[in-house]
Amino acid sequence: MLFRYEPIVFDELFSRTAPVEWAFPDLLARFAAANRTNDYPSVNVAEDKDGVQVVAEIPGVPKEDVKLQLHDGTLTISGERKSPENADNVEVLRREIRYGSFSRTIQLPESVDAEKVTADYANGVLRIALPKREAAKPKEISIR
Amino acid sequence: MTKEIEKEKINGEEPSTASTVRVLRPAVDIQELADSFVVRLDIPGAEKESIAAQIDKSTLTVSAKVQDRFKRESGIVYDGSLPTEYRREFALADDVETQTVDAAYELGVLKITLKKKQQFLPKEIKIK
Repeated sequence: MLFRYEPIVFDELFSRTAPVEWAFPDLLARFAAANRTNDYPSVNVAEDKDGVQVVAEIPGVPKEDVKLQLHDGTLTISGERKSPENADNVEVLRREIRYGSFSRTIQLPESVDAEKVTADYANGVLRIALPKREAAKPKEISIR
Repeated sequence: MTKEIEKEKINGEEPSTASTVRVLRPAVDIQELADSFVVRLDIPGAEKESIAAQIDKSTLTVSAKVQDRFKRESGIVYDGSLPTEYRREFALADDVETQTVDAAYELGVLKITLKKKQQFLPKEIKIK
């Protein structure tokens, strides 16, 4: 395996609606935040002969609050999801969305060309295209 | 009853789970304000046109279809690229005004504002 792929656990973890979640939304959110190590945001990673594509789901986070960093063969997606401004006297009935800072690091194949990485963001989805260096691509050799 | 209760099933039917579509329940935040309820759902990657929110009697249904996470032209075949459908249903309490619902989609988050019915709002009583 050239890159690490962690299964997406976010959906599983937060789609449960145990009564305890309704009763103590704050407590559970804090517990979840403490447990948040390297599983957020959810990512899909795929590789083909031309490059690696990373798709990360970061709903509710404006582009300006996301940082992408390439370092030593790794890609780090970090940022902060800010809690929406609340009026006074808000009663929380359900809280499954997590707020706060996040960071996730993905190991990249060595063949990625750091100079040619592009990223675009739309509707809460970040797409990062990491093309491979020309030298790393498979080459067809013609037979004379 | 002033709180919304989520229905797991509607008419005893689960949302369809055909093998070619992944059905997800979006994470939700629900807040109650003095005069309204605010529902926020994480639906990353949808186009505004592909999101449907409707109220039938006292059930609010939100659904959205999201196309592949990966661009097809790159030739990548990967099972994470299944089309996804987000779907979640909520039973609305009697105090929700179903005629004036506001919904906005921004940064992958759908925000639905449901007003409370006038007769359920706190009333100030003048003391003579």
